[in-house]
Amino acid sequence: MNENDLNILLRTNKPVVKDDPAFMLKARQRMSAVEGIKNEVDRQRKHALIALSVTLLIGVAAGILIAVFLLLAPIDSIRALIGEWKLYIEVAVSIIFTLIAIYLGNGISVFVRTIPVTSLYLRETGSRVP
Amino acid sequence: MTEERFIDLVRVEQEPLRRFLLALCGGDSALADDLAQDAITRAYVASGSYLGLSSFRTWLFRIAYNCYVDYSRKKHPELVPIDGKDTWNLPAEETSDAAFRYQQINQALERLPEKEKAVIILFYFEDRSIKETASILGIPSGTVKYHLSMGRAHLKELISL
Repeated sequence: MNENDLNILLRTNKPVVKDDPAFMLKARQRMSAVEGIKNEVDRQRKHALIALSVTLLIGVAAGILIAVFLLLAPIDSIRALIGEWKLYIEVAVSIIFTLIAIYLGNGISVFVRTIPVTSLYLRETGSRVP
Repeated sequence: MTEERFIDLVRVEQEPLRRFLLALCGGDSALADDLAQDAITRAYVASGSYLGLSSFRTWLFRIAYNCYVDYSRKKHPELVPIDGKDTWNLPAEETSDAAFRYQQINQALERLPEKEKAVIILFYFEDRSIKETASILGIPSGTVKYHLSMGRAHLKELISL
């Protein structure tokens, strides 16, 4: 077989695809599903971001209040207060830190749960696509 | 790119896309359509990052080819057609001679290395230029020419009419 025969053979025997109206319908359904997943991922990420921001703000505010209290209050009164409330403060601190840990853990778990979907999104928007 | 614009572009390209994948999949139309759906979904997810550096068609075909490569890498031996599908959705009015030619071409293509097969399909079946083929497959133009030359030589040996 020469070059020309092969050329003619290949160009005149292209595969034929069946006309399938359901194809585009299915494609649209999949696009809608993708849109739903994208919205859900965005919503969860937004919630997680808000939760982390609120935690950060509470932490900063609490720190400022404690710093102001320590700077303004007389040293003797602080010693007296700490001595009087030492046990209660220790208990309260452990409870507060436990609650903060739960709060942060919840925020982190939201990120972790969205990783499979977001990784697909990031992979598809990555360098492989021109 | 809006969803409607994307759908309009896909509607225009869906037939050549399915034909390209049909040829790559050795005539398995169900698998080709599944891969085409996968490619369209991936393209939709990535449509926000489409910069228009290449034509939409080239971009979509490149994603489709990557889908096919991903599938080929993880496919199980039992899913590989043993002797290739024999019809390529041959129209009913086609003669048995045409069916025989389809089958011969299909079987010959199945025996080519992946890159040669893809280059032959894009160049002859989809009428793509060397440059477009290079862009779709992510290889230099010189490499496309090499694969095209090797593919032709192999096909000449494999197809006897």
